[in-house]
Amino acid sequence: MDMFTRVEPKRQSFTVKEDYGWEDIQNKDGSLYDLLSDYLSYDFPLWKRLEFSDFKKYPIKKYSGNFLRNGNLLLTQDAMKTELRDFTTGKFAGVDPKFVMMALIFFNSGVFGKIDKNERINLDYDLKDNKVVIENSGLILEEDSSVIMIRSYRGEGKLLNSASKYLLRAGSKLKIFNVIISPKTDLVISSSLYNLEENASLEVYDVIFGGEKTAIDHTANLNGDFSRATFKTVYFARGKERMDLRNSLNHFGRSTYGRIETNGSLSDEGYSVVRGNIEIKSTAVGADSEERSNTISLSKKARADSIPSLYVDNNDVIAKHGASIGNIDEDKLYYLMSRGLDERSAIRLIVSGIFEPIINEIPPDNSNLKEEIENAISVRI
Amino acid sequence: MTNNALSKTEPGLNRRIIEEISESKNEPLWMKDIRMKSLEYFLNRPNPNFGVDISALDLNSIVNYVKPGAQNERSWEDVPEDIRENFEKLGIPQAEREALAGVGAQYDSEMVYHNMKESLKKLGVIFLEMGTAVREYPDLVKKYFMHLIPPNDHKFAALHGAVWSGGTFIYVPPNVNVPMPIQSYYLMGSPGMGQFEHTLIVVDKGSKLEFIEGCSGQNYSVSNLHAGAVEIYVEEGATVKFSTIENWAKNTYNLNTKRASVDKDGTIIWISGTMGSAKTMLYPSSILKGKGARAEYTTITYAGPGQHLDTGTKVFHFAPYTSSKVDSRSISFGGGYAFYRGLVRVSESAIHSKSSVDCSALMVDNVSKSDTLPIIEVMNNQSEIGHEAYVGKINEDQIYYLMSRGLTEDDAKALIVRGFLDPFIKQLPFEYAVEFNRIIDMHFNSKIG
Repeated sequence: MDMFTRVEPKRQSFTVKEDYGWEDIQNKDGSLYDLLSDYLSYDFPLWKRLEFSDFKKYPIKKYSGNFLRNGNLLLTQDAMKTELRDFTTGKFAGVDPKFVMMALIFFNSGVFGKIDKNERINLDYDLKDNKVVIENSGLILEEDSSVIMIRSYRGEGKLLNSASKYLLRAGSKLKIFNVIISPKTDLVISSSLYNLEENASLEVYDVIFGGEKTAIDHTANLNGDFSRATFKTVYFARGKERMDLRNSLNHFGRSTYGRIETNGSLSDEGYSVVRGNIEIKSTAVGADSEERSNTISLSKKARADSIPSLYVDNNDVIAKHGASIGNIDEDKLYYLMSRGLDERSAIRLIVSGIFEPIINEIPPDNSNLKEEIENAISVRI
Repeated sequence: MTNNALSKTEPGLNRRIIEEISESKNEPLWMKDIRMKSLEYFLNRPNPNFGVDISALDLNSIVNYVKPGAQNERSWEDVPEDIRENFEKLGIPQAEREALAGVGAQYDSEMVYHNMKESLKKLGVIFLEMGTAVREYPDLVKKYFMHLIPPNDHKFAALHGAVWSGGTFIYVPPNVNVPMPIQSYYLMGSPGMGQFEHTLIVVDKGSKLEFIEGCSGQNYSVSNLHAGAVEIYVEEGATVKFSTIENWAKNTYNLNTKRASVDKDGTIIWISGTMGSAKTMLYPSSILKGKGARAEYTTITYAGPGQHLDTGTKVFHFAPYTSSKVDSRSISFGGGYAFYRGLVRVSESAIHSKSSVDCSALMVDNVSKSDTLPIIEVMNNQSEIGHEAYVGKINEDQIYYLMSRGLTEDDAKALIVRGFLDPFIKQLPFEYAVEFNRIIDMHFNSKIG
């Protein structure tokens, strides 16, 4: 029904002195001309909560090293020479169209592939040796295929901007782990779009130890009947780190299922913005969707915002959300301390408890990654 | 009285019209200054960048000031016949006779009837039409008027500041427990008009007040605009319960601003029902500025055919040990669109604060819409903040059960809707509760009454 217009704030933007241009494209290709002019017609988004109002143009270089550890996939520049070409340049909204287009044009890393069976994919991006990582990735999961992908971004860099999209054909299954441990990195951006056909199933697990400013968006379009998507995010922000984490579920198909769970902790002047958007269209009869978030703040100066939204156009649905923000549970703390733990260890244990359900989901042959996550918690408390 | 001369301003807004309004009311200069400054803000401010679409509202065609053919009358019989009929349909005099401490009724822009029990006067309670209060208690009014809602707050606060007329002023001196509710009723009776009443309530230390505001209007083909303002000052240890039912006509744009500031250990209780109007934007706000201040909300939004109601609650915790509790419910049916927009902000200094927000939405059919957007911002780690929301349909099992007990489907739906709204209805004065139940029955073709 278009009878009512919901008025929403306009996108705010700012101009930069120097933006990327043709000369910064790593994999020059004629088809990028139009995209580039589109990119240049956009200013950068102004984000008040992240205090993002300036963009530094760090030089983009060829990715040094090998980020594709495991998996039968094409590098993006090679995929552009195949029938996947249109898929590689496909735009979407993501965190912001400017950053998505930046990734599609100026990428120095990323993989594409069509998968028709079971596949394990490991991608490890290194920000220490590559101060600027720009990723353009995408997967097409053919009917009834199944993929487990583990993707990590590690090290102190300057800029990480990733755009990835996934087409899940009928009955396919995708499980993704994204681990970002990139302290002191100026800007960390990641946009992911998932389109699900009938009976497709998606699980996304995010572990975010951000850069200085981090913006993440996952958007799943549950187009097919009985498709399912679950987003689970855990995070920790310290120092003056700011994070804006958004998970969106758009229910179009009948009896679609969605869950969003975002839990995290803050220390120092850490600041998190947790957004969960659930939109249930009138076609999505029988949809079941729920979002939850819980933030434990360890510092007086930390700030936690929760912005959940439910947009429901159909009455035959279940839609819920809930949020809580508070200090660490003192009863738990005293209990642990009465068992001989010092305060710091007790807090560490409780915060680890937030991360544990996700760490447990990571396949066992990734013990290094699990350890790294545990270490990341330790050094922060 | 010289101000009889002005009965209706030309449509639209300019300095001359504002001057006319101010002069006709014999206002002090400071009030005229507020109006002029507000006009400047209004002309320069853009429309709000969220909420309902008001692009079809032609502000130039809205008549800003209509004076009905009556002065403030002391007795009900002196009020002109047609106006009296309107109010009688709404049960105002009965209400007054039976239980209410004082009733002010505003028809279009001016208060037409105002009375207060002698006993309240003896307690030192001031209950006046706003314009009269400006003339009789200028210093008291000036101290509070549009301090909580500054004219440059948003475009329609500015419009209000420029053209406000009528409304209610209440002052309760320290340590007075006003034993009965005080009530005002606002009615829009002319086509293509704007109503901009100002309600200013000051409840001094340790006092208690319950205030009931009713609003309605007749249907015309031309759009009406309501941009009122309510400012409530709850001083230390005081309690104010503000109940309101806004049942404006279905062609009204209701862009209303309500705000309370609550001092140490004070309590504001908002009981708020939004059901009329074509489009509404209304977010009663509580500013908890004193230690231990509290805010409680029980609100419902009832969006039927052709209605887009964007309502919500805002609580600002600025002091330690403050608490807030919100129970917000909405019903959308027949293609109606209900939007809940909430904000809880807990500042760095508001340690040991608590807030819980519950919003639930009941969707009666699959052509209606219901959205919720409750924002929470917490800037310290010594507070407990929680939020829950639920959107769902009428439970079919319940309908079947009730039908198996002999109810028609319509009766069953009406009963379930009433049950859903029960926490709100329970808080209403009796005659409003009855009226409210009648409206629900009417909407669902139910006859169980």
